[in-house]
Amino acid sequence: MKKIQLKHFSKSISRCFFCLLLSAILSSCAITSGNRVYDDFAAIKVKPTDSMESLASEYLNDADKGWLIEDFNDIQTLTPGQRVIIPLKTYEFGGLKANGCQTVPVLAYTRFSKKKARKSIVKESEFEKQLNYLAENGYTIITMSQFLDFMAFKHQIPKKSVVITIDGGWRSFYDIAYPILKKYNMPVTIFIDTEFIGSKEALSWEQIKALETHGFDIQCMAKKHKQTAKLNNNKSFKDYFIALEKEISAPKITIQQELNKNCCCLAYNYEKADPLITALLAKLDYQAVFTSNSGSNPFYISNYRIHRNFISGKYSFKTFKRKLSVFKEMDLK
Amino acid sequence: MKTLLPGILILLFITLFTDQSCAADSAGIAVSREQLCEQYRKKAVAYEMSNELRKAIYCLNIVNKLNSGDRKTAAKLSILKKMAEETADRHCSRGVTFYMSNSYKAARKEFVTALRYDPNHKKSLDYLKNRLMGNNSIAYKVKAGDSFKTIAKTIYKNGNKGFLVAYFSGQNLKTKPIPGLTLRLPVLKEIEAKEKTNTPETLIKVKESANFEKDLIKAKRQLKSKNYEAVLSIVLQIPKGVPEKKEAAKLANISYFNMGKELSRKNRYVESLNMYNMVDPGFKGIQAAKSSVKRKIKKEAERHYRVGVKYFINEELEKAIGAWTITLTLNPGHKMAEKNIEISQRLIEKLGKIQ
Repeated sequence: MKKIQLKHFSKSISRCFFCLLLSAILSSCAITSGNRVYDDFAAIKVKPTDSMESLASEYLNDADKGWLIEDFNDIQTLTPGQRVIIPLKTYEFGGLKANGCQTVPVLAYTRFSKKKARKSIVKESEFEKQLNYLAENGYTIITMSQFLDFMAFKHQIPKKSVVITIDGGWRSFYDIAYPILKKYNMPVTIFIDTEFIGSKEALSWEQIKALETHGFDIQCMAKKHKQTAKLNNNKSFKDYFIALEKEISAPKITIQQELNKNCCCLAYNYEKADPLITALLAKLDYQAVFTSNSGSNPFYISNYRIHRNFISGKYSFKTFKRKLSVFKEMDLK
Repeated sequence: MKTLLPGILILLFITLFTDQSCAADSAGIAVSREQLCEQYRKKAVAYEMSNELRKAIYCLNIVNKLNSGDRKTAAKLSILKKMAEETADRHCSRGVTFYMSNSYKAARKEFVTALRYDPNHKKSLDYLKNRLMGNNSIAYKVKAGDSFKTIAKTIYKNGNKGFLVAYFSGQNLKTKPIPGLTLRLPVLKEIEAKEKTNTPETLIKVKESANFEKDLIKAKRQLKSKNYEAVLSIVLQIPKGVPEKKEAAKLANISYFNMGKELSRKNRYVESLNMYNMVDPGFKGIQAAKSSVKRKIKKEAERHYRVGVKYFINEELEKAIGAWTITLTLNPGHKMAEKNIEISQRLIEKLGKIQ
């Protein structure tokens, strides 16, 4: 009896010993496998199966952030066995360098046509050519939330970042631009003129809902660029203020009702926003306002005066390229 | 015992086999970790020399963590961090001075520069995003007995604008404002000009003007004890247009000049030149000092170039690139360094493909 017990005991001891030894061997290999993760960076030894996307997905929780690894290590490709550093925290706020800072152009389109181009109508072939140029020349189309993080001096974005916006909510966007954007997989923000929606040439709320489901960002547009809010001699200050408040708050309320979405951006075709308008926008919980002033945006400008470059159907391709400035030279030593 | 024996034998085999592989792997990694540290140490030096302090700090932080026992790196890191913070403070002070003298473009440049050195510099970010953008608001603390109408009368000189005060307080016009509450009200364009004379900045200006003489005495005391950064932090706060500004500018020139000299003595030529660039061109001895440090920078660039060549001959391509990168940061026009970096990079790529 005692012999059997001893046999069982020795068997279980050998199993335990085996397991302990195996785990010790395995864990020592894990330690020496070459990867170290700290709070602000990870030091990685590239495996044959690794790619920028897989590393970005594993360490940055976002496969699209492979550019961060490329930029930080100044590399374009990965070689097995190579040591790379993955920055886990922002290392370059606002794209600031000794010789200047990053700027982000926000492109604004309105309508599209298959055949004829006009001032506010861009031809289908031209639109595709422009998107193709962006894709082929290292530009990254960033989302509105990435852009707002950049403006808030929170996160860095790819060096050649561009934002694409579409104004109004014209039906031609759905018929012409949407399939092209889908092909290039580019994120876009659509500023909806809520008064216009449902009319003959406009999108319907069903189409807008479908676009939102497909990842398009829907935001507000001040109604019909009325500029009713201009203070003149025929209007009392109170009437002016009420008109202004209505003009700014109405699209937000309508979109909230239709899409159950709290919009944080407003396209606003006023060239100058005075302190009263800015205070009103803040009070109505808008985080950013996109004006009709042209130019690229460094992080330090006010979120209530973001510039946009309107893309006209009459522009030559050279003019379009000029609208893509991504760096402002400044002596920041 | 019989059952244990084969197990132990297998384990011994596995242990010996895996230990060897792991040991080999470990040795390989130890070497590559050292190489990585060396690579980032060099990057940090190059960044520091090209005045990219933030990036230099990030690189040294990597070295410090990968090589946690290295006291030298930790000490260098804390020096760089302090330097970055102090430089940011200095630029911010200058920005405030420019802002107070209505030179908004110059002020913006200073605040952006401050943020380049220290991205957590909240004061600079506030000036940039709010004050410089004209997002000014008026703060009003509600007193007992106040109504929206009386507040509007005080702020906007017009009781009819009481509805506006109520709106921005988030209250109904028919209710009473809560005493003790601080309201943030927008500046109205039509009265902006009148209000400008009472902005907090103007109040600061008035308050400070009385202390400028005292500030100069303090700054001179700091200059005697060779505390140049402290001198600058005092004199750069003195705005343009006050009689003490001339003396303040003189003290700033002396401080920058001496800081440049000290940095040059420590062989930190690029930083030294940056300091000299802050001095007025007419300051006695500045031109000679500048030319001298420029010559030293060129000499230093050549020295690094030759170090790079030695590495290249010894087939240490990464180290050679590191040395030539430093050459280029010191002398951006050094064509041979640029060409050699390209050649080395191509060679590394080719070797990588072969391996």
